[in-house]
Amino acid sequence: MSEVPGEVRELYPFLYEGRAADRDEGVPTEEVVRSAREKTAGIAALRRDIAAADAGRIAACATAMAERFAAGGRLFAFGNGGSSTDAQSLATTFLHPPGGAAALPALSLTSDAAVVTALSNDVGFDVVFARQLAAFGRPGDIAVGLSTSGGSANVVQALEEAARRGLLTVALAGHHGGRLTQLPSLDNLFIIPSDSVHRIQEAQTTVYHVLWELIQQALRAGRGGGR
Amino acid sequence: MSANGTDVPVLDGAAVRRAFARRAPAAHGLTRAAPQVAAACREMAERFARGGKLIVFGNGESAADASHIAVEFMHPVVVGKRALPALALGNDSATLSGIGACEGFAEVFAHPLRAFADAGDIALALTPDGRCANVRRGLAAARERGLLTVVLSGGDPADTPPADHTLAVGSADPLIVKEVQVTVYHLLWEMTHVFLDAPVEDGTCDTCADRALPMRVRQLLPDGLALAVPETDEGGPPQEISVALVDAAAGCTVLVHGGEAIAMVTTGAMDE
Repeated sequence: MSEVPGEVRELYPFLYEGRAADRDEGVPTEEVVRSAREKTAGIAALRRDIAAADAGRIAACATAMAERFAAGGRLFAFGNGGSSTDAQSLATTFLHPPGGAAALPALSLTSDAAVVTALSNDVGFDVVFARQLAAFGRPGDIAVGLSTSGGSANVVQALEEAARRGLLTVALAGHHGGRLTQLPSLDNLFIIPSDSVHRIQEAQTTVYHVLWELIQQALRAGRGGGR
Repeated sequence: MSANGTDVPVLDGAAVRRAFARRAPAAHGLTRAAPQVAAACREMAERFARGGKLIVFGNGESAADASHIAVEFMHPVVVGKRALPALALGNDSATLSGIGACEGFAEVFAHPLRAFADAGDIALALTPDGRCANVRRGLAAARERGLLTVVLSGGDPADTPPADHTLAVGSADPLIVKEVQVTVYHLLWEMTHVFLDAPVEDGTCDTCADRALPMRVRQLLPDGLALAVPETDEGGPPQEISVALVDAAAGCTVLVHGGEAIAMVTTGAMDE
């Protein structure tokens, strides 16, 4: 007789799904290999879909970002968990790019544990990025928020704050875009059409890398096509 | 001046489509490497099952990836997966800059691996081209200490540092290498859990880890305690658990998380 509360079943699904069979059989490596190949094929298809659906909008966003950089704008990136590391990746790619490309001013708002914990402790976690943008941001800068769900409250608040201050706003989301689809002030929103957090993050990485590549191309051409 | 009023030319979608198309071959190459990924996961799962922790390191974008991997294992996005101990060496800027200034930047990963790691741990390094001196030295220090070593690399295969498992992406573009590495480490996390959830061959009990296990209550003790045995190993020695949160009786099965019964699974033989 089972009396497992629903929330426990939800937290520990592996205890209730085909448990006996799994434990008897172990895991054949071939099954794992097949699953890995399915996922690899999945991300390749997702990238193809994004290129087909969003190429024009990604190009327009890169143009707008390049214009901001050309006029002295800086970039601020933010997100939570894995997306916080994407914000760091994005910022370091712009600030210290590979292959001798031009360094562009960029900062991740997730790297300073003192600021993040102070704001979380004293005010609340929802303001950790908005407050930093209020201090750093100037009209002409760029705010890039990453959220796989599109629903992170601190990312939403930061993008609203950025828009109020005249920053160009760029958001990368997944699933169906969440609350980010409800922000009328958002300049650019790219929704990765997947329900897997992992595939969304992988595709978002490509989107911000391609944005960086195009911005570099545009700035080189703007300087007279050198290098 | 261009149409947009600046010196910056207006880009079109064709440039975006070309950039995306450049990514396809390296991602396809990962499909062929799936058996190597699975082999690395099997050994990582064995290390975790014996209480090992994961130590991750890299430079630049790879440092951010190291943090991503650590949080992936510590706080999985997939509900129901247990937390596994993982640490990114780049997050501690005090230690990183301290070692870098005193002993040179090539030592920044090797030093904490010598001073903090245990022989049963896993060292996971990321590099876009295998040529970072501190990553190579870190891996060498980890191997010397007996850690399982895994490296995610790219660029010229001849530059991939020695490790127990080398997973190299076939591209010379560091951005493309990184994008494929994100998929590789997501697979490393996922497949490690697949192997970890399978039976442990040496019968090691893992109630000490952050995972709920069904246990059969043998005998109630005073103060909300009880003696219980894992459902999967009923012949094993009984362990003391807390049953303060549930209405347990001898013979029932409870879900135990960190020594605490958090839910009833069955109310006992008499009810069945």
